[in-house]
Amino acid sequence: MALEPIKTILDIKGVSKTFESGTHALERVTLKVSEGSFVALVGPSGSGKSTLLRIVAGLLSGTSGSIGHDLNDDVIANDIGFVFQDPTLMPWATIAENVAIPLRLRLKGLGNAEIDKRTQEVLAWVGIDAFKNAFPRELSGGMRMRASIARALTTQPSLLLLDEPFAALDEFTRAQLNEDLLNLWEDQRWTGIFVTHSIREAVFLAERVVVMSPRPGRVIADIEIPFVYPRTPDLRNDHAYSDICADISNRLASAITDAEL
Amino acid sequence: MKRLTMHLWPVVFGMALLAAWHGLVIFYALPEYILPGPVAIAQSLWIDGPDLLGSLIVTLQVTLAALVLAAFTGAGLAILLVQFRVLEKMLFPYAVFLQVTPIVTVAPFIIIWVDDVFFVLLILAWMAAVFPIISNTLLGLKSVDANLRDLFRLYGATRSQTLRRLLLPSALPYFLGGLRISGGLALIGTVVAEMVAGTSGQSSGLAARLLEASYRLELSRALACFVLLSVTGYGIYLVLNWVSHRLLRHWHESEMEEGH
Repeated sequence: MALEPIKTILDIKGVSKTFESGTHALERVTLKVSEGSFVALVGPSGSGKSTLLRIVAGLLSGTSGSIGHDLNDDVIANDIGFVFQDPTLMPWATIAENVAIPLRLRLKGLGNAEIDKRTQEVLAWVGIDAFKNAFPRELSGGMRMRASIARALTTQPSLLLLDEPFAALDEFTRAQLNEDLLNLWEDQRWTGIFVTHSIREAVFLAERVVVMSPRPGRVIADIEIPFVYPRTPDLRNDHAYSDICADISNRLASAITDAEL
Repeated sequence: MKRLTMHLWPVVFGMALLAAWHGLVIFYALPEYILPGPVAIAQSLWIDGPDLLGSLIVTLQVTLAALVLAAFTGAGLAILLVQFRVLEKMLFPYAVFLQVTPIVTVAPFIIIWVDDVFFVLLILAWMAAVFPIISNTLLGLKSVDANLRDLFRLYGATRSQTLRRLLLPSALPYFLGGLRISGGLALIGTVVAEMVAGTSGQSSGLAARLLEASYRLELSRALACFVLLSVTGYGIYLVLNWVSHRLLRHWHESEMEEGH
């Protein structure tokens, strides 16, 4: 059986961004992402990772360059899910209502029964179906983040953008969510772009780690991570894993030194 | 048990105050037209109560109508202003005028232009009550979480969806805060308006009766009116507090039970 060529789902070409304030956030970033892959973007604070993600989502526009895509809709935003840094839940609505909101906003014709069914399903994926009638305040930070991920998945997007989703969580919760996120990805094979400033998190999760320089953000390295899936927590104690983390850390350190000179 | 004693403190204070007042009136043998004691006021409340109750209802009707009107017009105006920023620039300064102009100075004109006393009172009480609702609701509508706004944009929410599902719930705690202030102001506005409009007789409101009684030096009766008005104001405050608690208790910090 001949292997099908891997489809590029996202084609970022020479995207630059300068804010009105004069902040030069991105400098000609070029990046191809293939369908079903899991890519991590790492870089120091202010390297424009989040800006890039927002440009991809259509929440910001680039100053120059282009975003090409091969999604199931002409409008890029219709086939993506976005997970914010904070859980960003509506405090007045229950977890189920929060998770259902993308369906209510985008698929306006959908009946309540169908919405309930789909909501129930995604809540089960992230393991919080028992809390569907709770309000966000009643849940822990980790549970709220699970709800946030569930919400991004309700429309079953082809592309999931995650903007440092676990940055505010404690180490244990963070490790657990990393593993659960990977399991979901292996089951469903959406394309994932995960922004983080934790190198260890990036290497644990992704097939490919894209390293960005300090402001203005450029791609300074693009590294394949060879470990097979399913990845288990043991990987974190693996020498090869530590070596890759150290390598990326060195590259970042020298990029930061260069930027300061 | 501890909670019970906490609630008892205001009662203890009130009792002490009444006792001191009573003692003062007895000690100096003050006549009723200078200062009646608490007993005389209680007697007046008992005797004139049923008669005054009719007037209280008149006052309360105006107050509540003004409050409801202020809630709707205030919230409606705030929504309009936040949708069209040009309008906000254009109109907000005049809303401030509404707030800073003493209604006593506007009353004579309203009395000339409007025939029906009820509407005169309503307009004046509304003027007193509407501003906190406008400004608080406006603040709430502008305090929407930026990420939630992005989320709604991402999913292509329409203007009305954003308003109904994001802006209004975000602004609700602020609106209710404004409403609690306006509850008291609506009563104050009604009372001032009644006094200025100078109505008399049984069909008039409690403030007019208070004034009438004081002209006749029936101070027990006047103070009975005063007591009824104060209790009414406090009652309005409690009801609005309760409404606010019911609406926000699940999600807003201001209304969370302790220990959550």
